[in-house]
Amino acid sequence: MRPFILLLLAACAAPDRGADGGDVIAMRNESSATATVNADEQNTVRVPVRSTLKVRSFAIPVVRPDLTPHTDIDYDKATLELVRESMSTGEGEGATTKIFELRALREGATAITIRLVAPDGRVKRANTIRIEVTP
Amino acid sequence: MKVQRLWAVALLLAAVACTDEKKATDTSATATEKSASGYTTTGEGGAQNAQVAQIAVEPELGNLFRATKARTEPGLLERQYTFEKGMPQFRASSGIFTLIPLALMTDSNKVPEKAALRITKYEPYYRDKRLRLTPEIVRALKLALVPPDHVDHTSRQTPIRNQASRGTCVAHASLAALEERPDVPDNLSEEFAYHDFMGRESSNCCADGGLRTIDSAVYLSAQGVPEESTWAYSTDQPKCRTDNTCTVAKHDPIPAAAASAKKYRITAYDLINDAGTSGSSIKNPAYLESLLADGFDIVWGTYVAWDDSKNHDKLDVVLDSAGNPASSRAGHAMLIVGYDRAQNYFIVKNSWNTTWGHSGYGHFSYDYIRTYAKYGYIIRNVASSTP
Repeated sequence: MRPFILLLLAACAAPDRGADGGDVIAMRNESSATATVNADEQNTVRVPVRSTLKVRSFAIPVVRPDLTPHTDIDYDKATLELVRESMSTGEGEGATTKIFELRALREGATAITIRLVAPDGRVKRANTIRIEVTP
Repeated sequence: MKVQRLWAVALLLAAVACTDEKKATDTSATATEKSASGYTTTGEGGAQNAQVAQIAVEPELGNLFRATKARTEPGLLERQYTFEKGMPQFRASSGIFTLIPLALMTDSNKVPEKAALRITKYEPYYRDKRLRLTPEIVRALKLALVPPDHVDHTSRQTPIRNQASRGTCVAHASLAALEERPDVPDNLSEEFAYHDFMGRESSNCCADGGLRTIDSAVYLSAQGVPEESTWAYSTDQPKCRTDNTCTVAKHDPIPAAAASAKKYRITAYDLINDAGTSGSSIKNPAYLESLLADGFDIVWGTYVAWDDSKNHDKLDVVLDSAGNPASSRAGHAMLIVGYDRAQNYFIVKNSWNTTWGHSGYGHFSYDYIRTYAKYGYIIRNVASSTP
């Protein structure tokens, strides 16, 4: 009898509410649904709302600072939120990449444009990644 | 009187040893092995270095300088120790185990905190044997083997290259080490090496995620590199196709002249890993000093965390706002070609043109090496072949 009551209480307690108003299930989805896409991604990327999307930049050559290109990223700020930028040195020498972490704020179709820009402002590489934020 | 007699015996033994040494050099050296200091080496890597690693560095050397006497070690592994230009040479002998008096060292009053022992010569018979050194001899040898205060191999380097905007540092660093050797032409094809490296990594210049510097030793052992004239380096930007393959202007496809040319490859090398700041580790300045003093240059993979605005000065560890060493921004490969202990820096050949650093060379502090060095290797032997 007692185990049955505990089980019933547990079932009634879920789902709980997260700190940001989302439920616990959504927060779990966020951690498990982190997706990483490369800058040259050609297909539509589907990510659940509230999940984190990591975008890996084009490879950046390790060269003299005055010759080093930089990476920039454009996205719909109503749909996606930039959480963090970091450098990924990988295992080797000669190239590095930048990682952009974006959080999906709401459902809908959107896109990210990522570029590798030379110091003189010339765009060396660019690609637009289509994103579909799903429920 | 007794002291004088000891000196006389010692000098006699030194003369005998020097005579034996000449014979040993004549018989054991191989055609392509060399080091810049003029010593021949018979090393094939691993086993010897493991021995060196065991006795490479001692933190305390105070009050250890003294002459040693001739010893005998009957039975196994009898050998002599002799010194030439301050370096010891080990070899088989007729049973006398001799250490030449350390009075041969003129710098005995400058005992450093650390000293490295480098074994520069073996008889093949002893190559895989374990050295049985008494602590007394180890200490004496270390004193005798303190690398000089300053070693600079820049005068024997090929010109500084310019990798421009391409991530080809590993090709440049590794070929700089090859080109420095007298039995290799002064200008090898970085373009060929880079494309070969990328092929072995199943990559290309538009999907280049970087290459571990030490892997280039493996690749350059499997595949030689032709001269620059067969495939010149291009500073052009690669063109990336939609399928992420790439082409470099004037270099697509690979020139036939490069494919059919005579090539130069590594046949023996020693990897230097990160084993902390002591022993045979890439983060141990004393060990790197000993390699450089023995004539080797060091192909070096490192984290990039220096303040490049100071590239004309000494490049040191930069601290972040919390007082910790700054995070790495990337990885880079260069060639260590010397050091200046008093100034506390290593001399490093870069491939960022002559306008960078000191006419193309960087001065990296000992602390930078201890903090950010990743790994490296030295080249012991090369060979050439024609397809």
